[in-house]
Amino acid sequence: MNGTQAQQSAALHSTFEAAPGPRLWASMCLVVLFLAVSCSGDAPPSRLHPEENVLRIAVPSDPRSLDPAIAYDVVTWPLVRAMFHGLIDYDDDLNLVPWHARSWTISEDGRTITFKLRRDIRFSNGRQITSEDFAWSLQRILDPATKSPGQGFYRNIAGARAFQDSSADRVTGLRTPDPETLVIELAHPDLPFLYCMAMPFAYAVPREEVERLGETFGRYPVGAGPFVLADWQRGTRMRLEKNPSYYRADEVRLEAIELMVGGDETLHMMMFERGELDIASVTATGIPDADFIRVMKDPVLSERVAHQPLNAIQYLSMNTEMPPFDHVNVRRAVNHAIDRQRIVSLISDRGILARGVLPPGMPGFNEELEGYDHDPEKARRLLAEAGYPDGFTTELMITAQSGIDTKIGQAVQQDLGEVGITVEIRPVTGSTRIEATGRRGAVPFSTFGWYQDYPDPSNFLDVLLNGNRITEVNSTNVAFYDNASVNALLDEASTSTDMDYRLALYREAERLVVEDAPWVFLYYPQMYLLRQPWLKGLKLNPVWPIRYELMWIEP
Amino acid sequence: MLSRILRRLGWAAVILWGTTVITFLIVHAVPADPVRVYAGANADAETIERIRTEMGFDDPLIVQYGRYIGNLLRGDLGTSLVTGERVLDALLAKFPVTLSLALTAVCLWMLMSVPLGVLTAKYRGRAIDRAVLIVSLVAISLPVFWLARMLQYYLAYRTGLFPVAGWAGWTHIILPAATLALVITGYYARLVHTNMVEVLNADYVRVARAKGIPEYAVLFKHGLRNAVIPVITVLGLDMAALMGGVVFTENVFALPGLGVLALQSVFNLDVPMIMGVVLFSAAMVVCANIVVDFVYMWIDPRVEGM
Repeated sequence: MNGTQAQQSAALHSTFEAAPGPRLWASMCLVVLFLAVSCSGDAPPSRLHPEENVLRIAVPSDPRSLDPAIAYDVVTWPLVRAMFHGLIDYDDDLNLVPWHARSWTISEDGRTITFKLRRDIRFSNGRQITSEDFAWSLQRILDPATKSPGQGFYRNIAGARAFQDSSADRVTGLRTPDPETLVIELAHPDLPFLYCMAMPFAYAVPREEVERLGETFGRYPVGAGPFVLADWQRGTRMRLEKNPSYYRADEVRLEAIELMVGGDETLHMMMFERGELDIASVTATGIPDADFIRVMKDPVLSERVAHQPLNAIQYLSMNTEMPPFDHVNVRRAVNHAIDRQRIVSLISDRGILARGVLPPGMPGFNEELEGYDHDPEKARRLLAEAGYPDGFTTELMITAQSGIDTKIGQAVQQDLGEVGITVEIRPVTGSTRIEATGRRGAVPFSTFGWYQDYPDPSNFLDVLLNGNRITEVNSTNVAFYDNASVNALLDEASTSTDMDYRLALYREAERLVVEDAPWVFLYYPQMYLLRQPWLKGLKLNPVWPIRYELMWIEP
Repeated sequence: MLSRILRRLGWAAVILWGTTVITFLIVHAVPADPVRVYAGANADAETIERIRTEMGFDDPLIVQYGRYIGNLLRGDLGTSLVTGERVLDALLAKFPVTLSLALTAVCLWMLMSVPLGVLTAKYRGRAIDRAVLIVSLVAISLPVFWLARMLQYYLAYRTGLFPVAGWAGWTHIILPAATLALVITGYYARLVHTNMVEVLNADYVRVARAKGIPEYAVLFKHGLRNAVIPVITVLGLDMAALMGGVVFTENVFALPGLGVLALQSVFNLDVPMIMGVVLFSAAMVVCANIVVDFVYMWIDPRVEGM
């Protein structure tokens, strides 16, 4: 099926009759050495296309779709943002700010949100956008035929369930009294719902184009953003060009964005250093592991590194329903046994030590949480108390393609070995791991990472640790952690409309979670971006690390 | 002859059908959920079940297979779960890249291996023969992905002689094709060598030499023409194998060919796309086999009885 096979069959069939003499070997080595030396030589990096104001970047694989209803990953979202327009957005302190909506009000009972819209914004096909477009776009997310992975975020809109079950032909909670007003009624009060309205799923799409293009809308998107799609050869390249009819077109300084599709981070790093790319990598991990230390020690390159702590956490999930992890002291012992500082240094310090669930950039982050320090002695004692004085044997599931998972796995294996716990590492593909860990009673111990959907504690605590969210398959609560007091706190917080009160409830819930230790809290990842000196306007924030509309090239 | 052709085609259909069954079973036996991959790690259980129903993955396996074969017989290979692109369109879009890589590589390695094979046959046992032998041995033993990275590092990244990666014109095909050619040339050089040695010992060559025919004519007209026939057979099969996608080389150089498509669809658990790529590769190999068989029969009528 590939070249290697041809090569193998070739090697198998070949017959060689003579053996080389030592002199020949020596001369051959010299030739190879000479070739290697004559090929090397440092070329100064310079921009390959100096005169254009075009951003050049590379992504490992094609976005699956540029349809805001379908796209759901960290590489595609910035592209969707570049081509579509939403009601509200974040400022750099993660406050929600007006965008397409001039203003919004929330009713006393927290169940009705009223948006007042601008009237001067048009789709790139020339038609003016009204509140009807936003209402239709939201209803489209909920339509089962759209197959939107984001439908869960909007199921709290009144009448959404009836619509999804086909017992109503429209979502009754979406109303448009006039072209400038959008009223959303919720089934129950839900403060974080506003964050869902800032997610790309809620961006406006033109109904006439969606109906005309059908399933291919994600291939030929039409929006109202600062850029429009000019060309997309799947698996090869994509080109976005400035949208001249964008309502703030004079503020957009890039003429175009040129994406190369394909290759891995190592390859993109080489292309970056040749001046072929303006940003080394736009993926979450940013700079390849193998190059990171070199880049940070290089006086020139390190100057061009931008970094941003992400609202994300890397953890080990212990299935609290499966022995021996059903015993709280075993889970605490595992937390004490693992040297998280060493794990962070294994990933070149690209993480902040975690002492709890919520990352530092998240509202409700608790500085005073103490977490678990590295204390093998205490771990042994706790294990003995739990009835495992000689330890036990368990299996840690990791993602095989992930270099970080492999490092974590080996470190955990060694640390737990010190206290008598034998860990067998079980590498599987990412898709297998997601499926298996979501099934009840299937996986005792697994690595896990979570990246926020929106900056509210509920997106971590409620989604990942509420016992009422446990399902038999596809559970997002992969520790199958079920503590009645925690559930009660989380349920109360999710319907409360008082932000300070909610944060207090989440803090208390987090404190209980840390005490129960369903996870090994490892670290909060940080994103590192390496840019060329001529690229300006790279402003990172934890929700939007990449915002193309702010960037420009200054040769 | 006609009945023979029909019989071969009938078997080809059976083989391809068997391929669909095996691939379908393997893809569905993988302990992973394509819907989960599609919906992303953050989607909740209800969302996943709704999407599963919409995609038809909750039907029994036999129903799903029946649906697939039914569509296949109508020439519809299905639609990618991930991109919504028609599988046939994707295959046809990637095929030219893989084809040009394969053809360039074949040209390169034939241009190198035939002269080397003739030369080493002519000077059998001499220093040049041994040197070529050693270099061949080393080249064949090199892992493709390593050689690809080395060429990329020295000839593209360090010196800028070639583009590092991507697909934007003919210069992008040279390094990948050279990678393939370098590892395969050695084998073909030996193949030509062995056949040439045999031919050069044949009576008719001795007769030709005795008649005083110039040496180049002896080598290339009387020798090579006869020695190259078995090489063509192997070449046909290797071409078919390359055309199914050159996974390592394409991935290292980010060439948007069938190999990259295959790998991406496996990572995404894109069931219709995986089926499509496998079926396409199988069809390539089956076709090549048929062609080679008939070419053989045509060249050498004694093979008739096989």
